Amino acid sequence: MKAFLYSIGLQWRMDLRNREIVILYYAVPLVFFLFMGAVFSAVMPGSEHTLIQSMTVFGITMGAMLGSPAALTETYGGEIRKAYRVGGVPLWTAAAGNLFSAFLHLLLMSTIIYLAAPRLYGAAVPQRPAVFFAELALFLFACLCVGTLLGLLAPNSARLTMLSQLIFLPSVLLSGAMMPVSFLPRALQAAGKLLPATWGYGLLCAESFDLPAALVLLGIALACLVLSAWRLRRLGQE
Amino acid sequence: MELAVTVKALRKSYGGREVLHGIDFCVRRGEIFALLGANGAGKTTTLECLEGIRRWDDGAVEVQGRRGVQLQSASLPANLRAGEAVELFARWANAPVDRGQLARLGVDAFLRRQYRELSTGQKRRLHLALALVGGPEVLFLDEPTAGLDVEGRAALHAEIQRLRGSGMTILMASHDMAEVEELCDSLAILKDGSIAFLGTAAELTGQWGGSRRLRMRFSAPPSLAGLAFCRLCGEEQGEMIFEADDLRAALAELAARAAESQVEIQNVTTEHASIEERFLDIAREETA
Repeated sequence: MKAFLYSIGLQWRMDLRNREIVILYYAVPLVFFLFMGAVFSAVMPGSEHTLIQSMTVFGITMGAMLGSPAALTETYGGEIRKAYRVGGVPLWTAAAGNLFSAFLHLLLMSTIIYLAAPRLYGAAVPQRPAVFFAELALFLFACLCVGTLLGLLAPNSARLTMLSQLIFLPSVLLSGAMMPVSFLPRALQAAGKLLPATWGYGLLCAESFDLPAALVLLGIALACLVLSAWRLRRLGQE
Repeated sequence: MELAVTVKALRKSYGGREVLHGIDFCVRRGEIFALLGANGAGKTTTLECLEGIRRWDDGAVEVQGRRGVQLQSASLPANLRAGEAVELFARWANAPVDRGQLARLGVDAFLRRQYRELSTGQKRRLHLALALVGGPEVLFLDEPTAGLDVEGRAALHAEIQRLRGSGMTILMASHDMAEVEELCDSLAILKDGSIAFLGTAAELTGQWGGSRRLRMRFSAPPSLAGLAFCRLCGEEQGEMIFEADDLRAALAELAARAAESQVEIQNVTTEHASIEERFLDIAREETA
């Protein structure tokens, strides 16, 4: 257990040293928030009611889909995996450590948005902060499970970029975080239902706890965890 | 003598092509054993089977005791510090970090540096330090001094000998024959997935092929036509160089020729072939 905790702490520090990770976990989501927050509050009346939720969904989706898988593809790509294996470092710890570390970083980024949005743009604060953060944690966990699976499946960084973008871009466009879902054709609305961002945005914006959305996110997370475990097993046997 | 490693009839194929054809060898506890062979001979596959990172198709492999492994090609996350890597491996091995060992390997000088900032030699030293975490009883080294400068190489050789002195069994793959000659107690030469020689370095240089060299300086050139026990293979700095299978018979024959030609033998030296020459002999014989 001590070794595992050390692995998580180590991953946290390594993430802070990694310029790309800092950009994807903090810089881009927060700059996007500063810019789009100003735009939304100026041109979209009523956007202050969902500003925290939409910016949070964007930031988490970006960090989880584009940021967190990159370290995994590097680790499980071959040479590092061999070094860990002969050194007795269990393969799953790199994936678990990466997930926990990303969770903490993205939760911190989301908290910054939560605290800054009302002051900068007069955004409405969710009425039940504890419930909001619990829902946020569930959405974040589901996204990171998807990101982990992407990182384990992609054989190299070029393929990972392609896979990640295939999920990230539709997530941003179809989730309702950037534009109302009702503006979209029915087919795209249906396609959006396949993505965790759609359910996450719905969950964060709902006035009361949205159990179906929470269950879908939990299902996505569990499915990705099972597939990740299968993939790790395969990698261990290669 | 207690055995640390036993390999029996080991077979391994990749996609239907057999690369190890049932090899057998043993390594005694506390000795340094070298696995030699040209590229593609099966060294790395054999080592990986012993290290526990590759499955084999048939045969048996037994390694007695905890393994430490330094891979030829291994990496770590680019922004992981050397000291953090040592700490991580030590924690998973549930062992303390041996600061003395880090100092002897020179790793303590770059503990704060990130992996991407290390030179090739520093990376190799770090991977050796990681292999030694937890005090393994059997250490596997794949090209341990590749990429090291002269000083680093000497320090590493000293450390390998110190480890052997502490009772550790070391099995290494190497292309460096001087290193093998200096460090190893016994060796195996792999050729096309089979063992072409198994024994000590002295046995290899003394027995394999049987030929040795004679260097002789005469007061004038003697008649050398129709030599039966040796052959002239060159001249160097006024000395004639002969290759002989039976040294005693060759010396007697050359002394007789000198007497017949009324020339004086001014100097005689004998040379055993080096491991490298014997290794090349084996490669040629097998190919032929």
